[in-house]
Amino acid sequence: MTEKADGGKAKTMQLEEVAPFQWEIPRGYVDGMRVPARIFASKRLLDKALEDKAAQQIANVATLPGIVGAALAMPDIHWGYGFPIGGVAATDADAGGAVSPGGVGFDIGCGVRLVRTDLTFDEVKPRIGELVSTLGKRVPRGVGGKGRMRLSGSDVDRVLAEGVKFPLSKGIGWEEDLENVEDVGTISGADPDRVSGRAKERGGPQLGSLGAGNHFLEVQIVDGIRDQAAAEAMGLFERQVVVMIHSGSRGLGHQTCQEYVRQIDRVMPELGIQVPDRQLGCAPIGHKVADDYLGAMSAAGNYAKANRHLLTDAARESFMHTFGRSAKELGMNVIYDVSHNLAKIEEYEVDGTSKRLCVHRKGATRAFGPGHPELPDRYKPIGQPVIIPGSMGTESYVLVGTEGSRERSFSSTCHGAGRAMSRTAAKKQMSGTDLKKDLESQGITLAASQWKLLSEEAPYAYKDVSEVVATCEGAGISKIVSRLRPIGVVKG
Amino acid sequence: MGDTAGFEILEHTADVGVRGWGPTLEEAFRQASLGLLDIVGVWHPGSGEREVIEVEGRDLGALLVDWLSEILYLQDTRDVVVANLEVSSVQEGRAKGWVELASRPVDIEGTAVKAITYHQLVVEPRGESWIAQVFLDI
Repeated sequence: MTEKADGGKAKTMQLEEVAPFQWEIPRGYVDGMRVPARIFASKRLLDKALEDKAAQQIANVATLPGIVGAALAMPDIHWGYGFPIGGVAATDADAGGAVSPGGVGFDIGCGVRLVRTDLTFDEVKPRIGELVSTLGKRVPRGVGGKGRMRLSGSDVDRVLAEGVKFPLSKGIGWEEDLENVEDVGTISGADPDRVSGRAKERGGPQLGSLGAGNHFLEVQIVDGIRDQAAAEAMGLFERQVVVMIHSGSRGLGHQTCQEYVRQIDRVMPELGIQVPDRQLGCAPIGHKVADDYLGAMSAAGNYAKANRHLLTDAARESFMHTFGRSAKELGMNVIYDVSHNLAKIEEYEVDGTSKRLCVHRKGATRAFGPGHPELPDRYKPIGQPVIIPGSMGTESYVLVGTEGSRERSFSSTCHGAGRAMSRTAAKKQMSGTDLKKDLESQGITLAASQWKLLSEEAPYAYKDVSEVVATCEGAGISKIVSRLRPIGVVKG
Repeated sequence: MGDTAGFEILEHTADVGVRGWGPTLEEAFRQASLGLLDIVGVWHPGSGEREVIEVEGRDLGALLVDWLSEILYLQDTRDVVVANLEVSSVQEGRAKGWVELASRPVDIEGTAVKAITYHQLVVEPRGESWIAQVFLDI
């Protein structure tokens, strides 16, 4: 069998540490690289990235038309399809730069929302069983799960155009939630007409559901604050209970990406663009299919935000039900909501001139530094909150963006732990029921839809999230604010 | 690959691959489809309502991706299991066949598949057989 260009590790990869925690793959490693590729990693994480095809994949990304600077990989880089997970690519939107749906991924707009409470661990601990079971009942999840919100007629188009503002207009959630959602709850440029009837059919009934795989809703406690001022701005304190929601655009985003990858694959021969992996298919911004994709992607991104908003409502309800106080009385404000699978047009200085770049973040989080005009006032002094979900049962982190991330990583940082082991290998290592016992012995209460498959998402199948975030801090692309530890897990 | 037709699951750090093989291109497509349905947990052999599938694509790889996407879309939107499956012809940029869909039991055991990727996509003859290999986004 003749494997594709990325099918093997025929060439030995020569990497130079060009700056602390930055390793460069020079141009020429893969034919057609327009810029170098750079991996943010500790030596240990780098060795891990070199074990599978992830490093090769980021070198492939460097061949995209119009890519500027370097193709970047965050410390949680792992083998994806086309782009590696943890990949960032910025292309020149006004000079033939391309957009690649594979550089956003199938779960368009997938991301994380962190919600605070005034409750402490001691107050929640005696009720955690009841709380997790209530959450389990109120959070729709699993394969093909139907969502909390029934959409009728043109409602789905409104979700796609308005994002969080649609459920808000129906009285779900709080006005003040909006400013704590990236893009104030609505991505501009969203075009519901560019999302197919099939995508709407697939995702419409699922709005307000968690999904499966690595998605989760966790009850966590603040376990170690590193940056007191930033923690205070976010309303975080030691031993406080918070809720983290990790979910995306469900079948609507998956179908949208599938259809645009197909459309772009069809026009690639006439565009004359060659890429080393077919899943890297792309089209220049300004071409109809590229612009249609951007409109559809933004719409799916809005769906994802609305989805997390509805899951927040489920969390607020469950806390209210368990603790007999309203969500407002419990101080359940949104700390921040940010996506880690999106492409966005942002302005950067390139070789002394300001340029509009299409920044693809595939398993990477936007991380604006302090003072950025798009941040709400209360976060301007500290930088944008970045929410990093750990793997099930392990710690998660809150970070903030840094000034340096603008120059080093197109204002991007990691998105999670990053897988280190295949699903089959993870299932072989431990059964789902044994894993459940193991997590319970660590004081973590669980609600899952399929126990048998639980170990596919076991903590040992992931890299060490603490090392990932420490590397981001070392590289100066974000800063640690606080560590969070799970006490209750609701899995898809 | 001892049997004349079958499928195997391929390892990938984050996702999962399927390789189907058979004496004909159609059988290789069918086996890859069975692999997908096995992963999702919605292959329940029996009888059901027939749904014709026809896709077109610029080459065999694109046809395989579109064929499998169609099955994924049907089972996800109709909330069904697949009871029977036939790939009748794969030629001249077109794949034709059908699936039979039956109602889904309350609990199915499987891994949700988000989409079908073009990554390491291979459809080609190998010796006496055809292989149809594809990676899935989980």
